Amino acid sequence: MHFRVLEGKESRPAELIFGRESDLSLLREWRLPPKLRRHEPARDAVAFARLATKRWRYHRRTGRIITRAAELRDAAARQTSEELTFLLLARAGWSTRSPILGLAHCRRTWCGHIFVDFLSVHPSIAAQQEPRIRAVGTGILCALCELAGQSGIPTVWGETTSTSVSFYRKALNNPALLDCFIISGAVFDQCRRRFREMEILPDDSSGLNPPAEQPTFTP
Amino acid sequence: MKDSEAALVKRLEKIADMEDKYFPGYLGNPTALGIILPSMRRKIAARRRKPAARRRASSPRRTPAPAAR
Repeated sequence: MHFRVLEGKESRPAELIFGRESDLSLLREWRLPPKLRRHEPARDAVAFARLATKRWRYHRRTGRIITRAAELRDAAARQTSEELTFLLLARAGWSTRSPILGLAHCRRTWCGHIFVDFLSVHPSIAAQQEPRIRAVGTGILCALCELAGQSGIPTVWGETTSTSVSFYRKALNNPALLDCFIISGAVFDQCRRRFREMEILPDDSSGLNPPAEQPTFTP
Repeated sequence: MKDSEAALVKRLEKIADMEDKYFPGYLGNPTALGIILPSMRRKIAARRRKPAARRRASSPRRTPAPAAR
């Protein structure tokens, strides 16, 4: 699943993939540059990446993880009451900092909805370092809705905090939002539409939307 | 082609401008997840460093018992 982000004034491709063991080493490489040691959002982003790998490993030991879109579709089709965890990564091979621009740790709940545990971007993106990479957070959230829609899952929900509620209010166009956001119905469709506005069309022969480059980093 | 690329960049810029204003870098509740983020650690440390004068002011004053005659 592909979408576009902004690097400076140019649009660049990013790919949303399911995290696997080999990707965790790329997440471990999220480090704080010395000049960002006191930058709180950047430090928090590193903490979230560490937590994501730790949690993913825990759920893998219990065998309750999803590593492919087909598994999510399959769980939805079987209408199982299993709770399943998955880690989504926004990957971009052209990025010189890290091939992983952001992550979202999610759960399929017992009734087949998706709960967003947490979502974070790379520390240098959080710290708005040059060259600036933008629209990653919204890209991941909208791609998650598209993934849910393609898998027959009608609802994505989660908890907001005092720091994130203004983002959700704007992104979901709901100024009355409090500590819980539910993306379903018209808002769900709106997020999927926004994703398509950011998407790379796979059959586009114009060269405008080339497939995402493979990461140059090796685990 | 250039027009559609420009339109795409314009759409992305609109989204990115919204993110610049409202996206804090991460979404999620660290308290619910049971983690202490570096930013929270600093606030906790600041609270512990509350000046002694303020600590005394906020705690009830103990008056000495009257001396026995």
